[in-house]
Amino acid sequence: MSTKQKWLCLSLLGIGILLASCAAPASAPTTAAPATTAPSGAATARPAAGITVPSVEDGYAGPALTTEPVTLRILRYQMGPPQEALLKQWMTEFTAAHPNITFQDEPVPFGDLFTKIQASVAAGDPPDLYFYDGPFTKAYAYHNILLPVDQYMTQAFKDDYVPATLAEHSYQGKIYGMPEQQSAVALGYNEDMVKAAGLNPPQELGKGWTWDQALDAWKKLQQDPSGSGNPTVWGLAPSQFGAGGAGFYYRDGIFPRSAGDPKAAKDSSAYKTWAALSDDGSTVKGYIDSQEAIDAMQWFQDLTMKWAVTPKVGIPNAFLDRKAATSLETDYLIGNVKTTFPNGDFHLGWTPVPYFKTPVTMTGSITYGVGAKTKHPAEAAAFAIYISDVKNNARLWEINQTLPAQLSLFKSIKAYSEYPYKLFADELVQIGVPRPSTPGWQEYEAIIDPAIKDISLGAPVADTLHRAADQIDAQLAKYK
Amino acid sequence: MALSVRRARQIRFGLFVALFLAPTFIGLFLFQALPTLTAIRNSFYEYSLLDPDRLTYIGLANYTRMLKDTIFFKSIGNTFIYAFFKILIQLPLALGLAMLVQRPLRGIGIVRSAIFAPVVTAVSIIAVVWNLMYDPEHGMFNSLLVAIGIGKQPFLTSASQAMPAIIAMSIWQDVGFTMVIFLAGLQGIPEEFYEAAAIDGAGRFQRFRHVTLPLLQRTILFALITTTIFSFQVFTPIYVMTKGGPLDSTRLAVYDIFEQGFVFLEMGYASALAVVLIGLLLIIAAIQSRFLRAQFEY
Repeated sequence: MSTKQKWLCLSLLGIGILLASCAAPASAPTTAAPATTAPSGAATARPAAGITVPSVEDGYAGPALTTEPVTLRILRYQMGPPQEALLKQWMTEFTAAHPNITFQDEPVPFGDLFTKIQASVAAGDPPDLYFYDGPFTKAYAYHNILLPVDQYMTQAFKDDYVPATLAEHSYQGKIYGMPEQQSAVALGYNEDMVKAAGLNPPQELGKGWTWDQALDAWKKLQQDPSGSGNPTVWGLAPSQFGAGGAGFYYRDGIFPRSAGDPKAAKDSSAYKTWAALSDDGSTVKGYIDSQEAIDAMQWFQDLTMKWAVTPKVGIPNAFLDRKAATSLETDYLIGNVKTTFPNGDFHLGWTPVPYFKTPVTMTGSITYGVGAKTKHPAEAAAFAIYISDVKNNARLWEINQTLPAQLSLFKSIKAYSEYPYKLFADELVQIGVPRPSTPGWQEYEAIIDPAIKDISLGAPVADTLHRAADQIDAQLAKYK
Repeated sequence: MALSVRRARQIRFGLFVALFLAPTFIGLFLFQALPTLTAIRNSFYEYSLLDPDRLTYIGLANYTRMLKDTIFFKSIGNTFIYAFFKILIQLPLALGLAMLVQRPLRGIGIVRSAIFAPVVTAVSIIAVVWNLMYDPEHGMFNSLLVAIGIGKQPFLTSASQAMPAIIAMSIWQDVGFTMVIFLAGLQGIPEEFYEAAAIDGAGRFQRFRHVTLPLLQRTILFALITTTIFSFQVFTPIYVMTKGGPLDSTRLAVYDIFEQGFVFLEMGYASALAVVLIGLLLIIAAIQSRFLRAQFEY
């Protein structure tokens, strides 16, 4: 190779290296390109008719916001288009009031949110604001990912939350998160199928079925004309949560916890079964594997292995495809049915979540939190409080019509004075319990979910629960 | 004078070569050596991804903890079982396919491509599709079994069937890669050896036994080592299809390490497990090299 050719190759190599380094992203990759929302002249709010836009100072009790230019980074889950548009509107309104404050928005698919948060923290590049899954509040507080926000909230703002909700988003007496909304589970049913079976499910909390009564209904609703063991209509749809099918504690954990009793003595097996975690968060031994829990999970196993009223694996959209007569769901299904069946073909009914001894539904949903490492805590908190404000949550309700977290909204939103929304509100306030509140929630869920799935597929119930309890306790030990 | 000019030219040439090799070596260092060294260092610490500031030196505590970790030992055992059956079936199958597609038949290129196609398909996509095919209620495999009079099988929902199901899928995906390795080895054996054997009256099987196998020893060793390493690294099918269940029957070593680091937030302990796994792989590769070293050269 001549000298000229060598220099030509070297130059090409150098150009290639330069191009490669220019194309490399400068920061941690995101699933969608971050968008910076800058003030665009005089921004105007466009609320729905009858909705009042809050002042950006409503609910905020912190120090005066800076007048220096600030860009707040938000790491959040990807929302549906209407909610995305509302969030952008909120950012515009906030910037209109504080033109020096702009936003860098980083949406990721919900399933990737935890991983993305983990990666951003590990990389030393955390955002100013998180929209995260509420049950992780204590874990994030323990690991110094979230900032306590009590001092930024007015007392009226705090008092408007359902007390259990506030406790769910607190850690060691301080509030760390502001829930975007809440959740509760009830038993949805296909009204046409239920009517044809001659059933009349109760619609008020306090009159709900026991699990045995629900089982009787499922047996009547199930249709297997060929007797093949492969029903054309299942009594109970498989879980639509998580990856589908059994093994999602938010739904399946209702079974054992409803076998407990919150009014029993605290050292009793009945209380522990309901609690699912010791008060000091140190152990689940005797809580998730109590005799009541074992009996409840044996009943749960019989749903698939003995009575076969629900399939062993997930079937996407089983309930809306009319392959199942009932489904344990959140009120999210109400809007889903309206969207999927705009001409009202699907008649959806609701009955309270069934129980063994104590009606129970688990709560928790998306929550806003301020990053502990943010350089602009007051500004970040002010924005989080602004979008959590009851007036803005009313605007959010107009879009997704899912359970709000603030008591005053149950009074101001007319739908909550009547069935079916009233049922969910009553469940949240009267029987709602958070998922076990521990910094080790991630580990708890990662162990209990496969245990539940194994049980649904026929694993020995007692052994599986004892083993899961031992494993969870081993993980919780690091948080003592 | 002539010597110094030649020396200078040699140095220039050496620098030139080093410059071209530099990107590869930098990449190897940044993405292979440095993470390995970091993992070794992390294995002596208590370290969580959610709170990297709380890094705490704990010496050999992660390693002593591992000695009592029955779940990790189960995952190692499962990994050995997985690797053993995968190698046992995949290598002879790949050799047979290679001998089949070696023939200059019309359309043989299409056959080779069809066998190799799964290798270049993303393993996550294959896992999702096979997950659907294994569905115990509505999957394709059960539909076929029912059609021929065999009852439905639980496949991935059974602790006894889940591992064979995963192995079958992995063999289907990877046999093409091993086939190509054997194909290259077969094509490197000079035809004269076969001619000589035929002249001496050796039949087909004798030619395979006394010519092909011995001269393919280096290739077999390479295929064996690579298949073993890949078997010990398997993760995606477990993550997508079973999450280590039912009842930890498909919990393999890498999935266990992933769970420790990213789910249980114990990156230090996960690093210790990874270091042990690397050590185990090196020992296995060394044993394989020692016992299967080529006895014949050509």
